[in-house]
Amino acid sequence: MVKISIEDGVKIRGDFFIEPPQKLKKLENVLEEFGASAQKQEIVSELEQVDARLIGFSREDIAELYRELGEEK
Amino acid sequence: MKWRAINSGKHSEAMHHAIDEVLIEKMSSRDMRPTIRFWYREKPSVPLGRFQVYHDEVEHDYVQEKDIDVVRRITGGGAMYCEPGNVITYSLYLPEQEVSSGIEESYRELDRFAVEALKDLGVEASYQPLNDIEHPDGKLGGAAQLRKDDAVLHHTTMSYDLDIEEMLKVLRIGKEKVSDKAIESAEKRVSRISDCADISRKEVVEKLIERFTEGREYERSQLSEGELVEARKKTEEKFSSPDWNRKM
Repeated sequence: MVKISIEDGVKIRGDFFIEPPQKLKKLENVLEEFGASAQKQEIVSELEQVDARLIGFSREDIAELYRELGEEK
Repeated sequence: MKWRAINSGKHSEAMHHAIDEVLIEKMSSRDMRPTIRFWYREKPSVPLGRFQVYHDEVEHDYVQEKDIDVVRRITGGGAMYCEPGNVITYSLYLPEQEVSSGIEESYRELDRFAVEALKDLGVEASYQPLNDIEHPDGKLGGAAQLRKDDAVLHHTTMSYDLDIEEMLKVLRIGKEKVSDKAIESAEKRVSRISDCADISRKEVVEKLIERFTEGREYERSQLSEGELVEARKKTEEKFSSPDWNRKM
């Protein structure tokens, strides 16, 4: 389960695993650079620049969730 | 490579997680032999996943009222409800080169001995990716890992005789109220070793140790004084602190 909140900066939270753990912040920083109307593949490409292993979720999941949030606003 | 097997030591939840951090750091600097450590708890607690939001996972008022310790793990994964004597938790600390598979597959590899031990005892256990020990009636246990400089911390908790009704009051598992329907559906999802076989917790732990040490050189031991001292320091500075436990 992954969720993203954008109330107080971008936060990616859930019961996933990420190696190394410190890279979670880098993924969040990447999302912060994108506005609501960014293309999913653009976001995924930038997330792929972050050198981390995502276990239990994917960069696609993150990008999709982020865009859904943008659409709600 | 002689393993160390620790099957003693009752500690607070915070201290257990501090011990995990001390030992994975020692393992990563190769300052320690690989170790399996069984946990003994003092009181009910919730080990929270590293990346979870405290208030999303735990009924804060209830845990305060019941004096249940909530401690954030250094590993990812989900929150669990633990009771002394009613769960079995163990930690493995080992060099990465001892694990033959990639990260996802390594969950199954490292818990294979546990699945086999349960089957030996007549419990119909199996492994479900990513990290679940399953029974046809529900989930028996789950694992989490952290990797640090070519060292692996892998820890697993299984339900022996957990109070599931209590669990539903402690953890926010997507249900706002405790209703008969909610208990029923959770009981379908969570399985307990004691429901599956007529064996004591002690027998289960002994069988786990027996299966784990098969084909391995090992000795039964304890945490060193130095390890305990370092862990107490981390307990005070980090694992007892709301800054760490509630930060997300």
